[in-house]
Amino acid sequence: MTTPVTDHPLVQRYLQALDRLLVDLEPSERAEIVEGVRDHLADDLADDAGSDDVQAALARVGPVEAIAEEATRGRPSSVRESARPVPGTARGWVPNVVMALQLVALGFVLMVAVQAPGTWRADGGDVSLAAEYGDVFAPALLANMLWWPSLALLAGMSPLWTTWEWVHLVSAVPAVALLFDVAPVLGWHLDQDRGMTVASIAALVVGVGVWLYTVWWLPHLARLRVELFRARATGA
Amino acid sequence: MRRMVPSDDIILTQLRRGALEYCVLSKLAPTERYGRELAGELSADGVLLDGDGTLYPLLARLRRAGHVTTVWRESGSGPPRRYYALTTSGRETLDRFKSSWKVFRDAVDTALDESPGGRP
Repeated sequence: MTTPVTDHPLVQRYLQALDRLLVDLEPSERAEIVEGVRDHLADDLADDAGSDDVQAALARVGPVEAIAEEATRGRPSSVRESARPVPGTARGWVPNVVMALQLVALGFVLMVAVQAPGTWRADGGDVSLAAEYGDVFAPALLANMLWWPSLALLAGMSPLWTTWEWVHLVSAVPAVALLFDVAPVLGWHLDQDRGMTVASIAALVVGVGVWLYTVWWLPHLARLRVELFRARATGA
Repeated sequence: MRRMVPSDDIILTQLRRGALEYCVLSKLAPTERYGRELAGELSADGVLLDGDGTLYPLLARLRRAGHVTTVWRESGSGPPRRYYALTTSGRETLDRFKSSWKVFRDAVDTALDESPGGRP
């Protein structure tokens, strides 16, 4: 089954960038513009188009900034007609606080994982994050009763992340806790000690990946958007 | 103070802003079209449309203003397409622009011909 060309990574990246720049528009209008550009690309490219063809098509569509500028000009409520103050939840401190909260929350998850009963056995080269289901998940969430809701609330109130990015931010803590909880025990059931070790290590690797994505990448994106808000506030 | 002469791109951009919406309405007058088709016609001369993507915010604006309506139609190849069609309001707007444009164009041509030291 052929993958639609609109699923191509270059197209996805382009449409996501466009969607972010249209954040000030009404959701229906924002969706209409993004869908129009998506349909345009779907018509312009064959499903088996290579990266060169996709880049050429994106060049014909033009830079996302030009589309966003066209979308925001000439309207009474356009951000370009009057400088608006930066919303409190779009200021520079927000991504840093979210990053810190996420760091602490995921840190607590790891701490619970290594402190759980029967965990972190290193005898005979075997490694485990948990001995029983429930060793990590519930205690990790309990340990994060303060940080995790604060993170969810602050990120949810801020326009610096899309809905999907907010979902990623908020689900990282329970997802990693669940992974640390389930993976080693599942691994043990599959292949005893070796399975448990492999699963624990794999869970740790995935956990690090999630950590990098939610503690570094998503706040990094938000900082870029802070600059956009600042530029709009000065009427640039 | 250093004075900057606007580039051709800047001048074209400013001129487009006043006329492009009406050019889109004009392209839709004979028949409904889908986005890619419309963009192809408008960008053929390289003057009216600078980047096919800028057509879509403009179409959204025209639809919100009631000058254009959209309808989904099955296409011979691939998924259904969104077609854009002129409404009665759009047609009236286009007719008013056409009469105003003639007046404006003639006035500009006259001004350019008569400007002191200017070239026709």
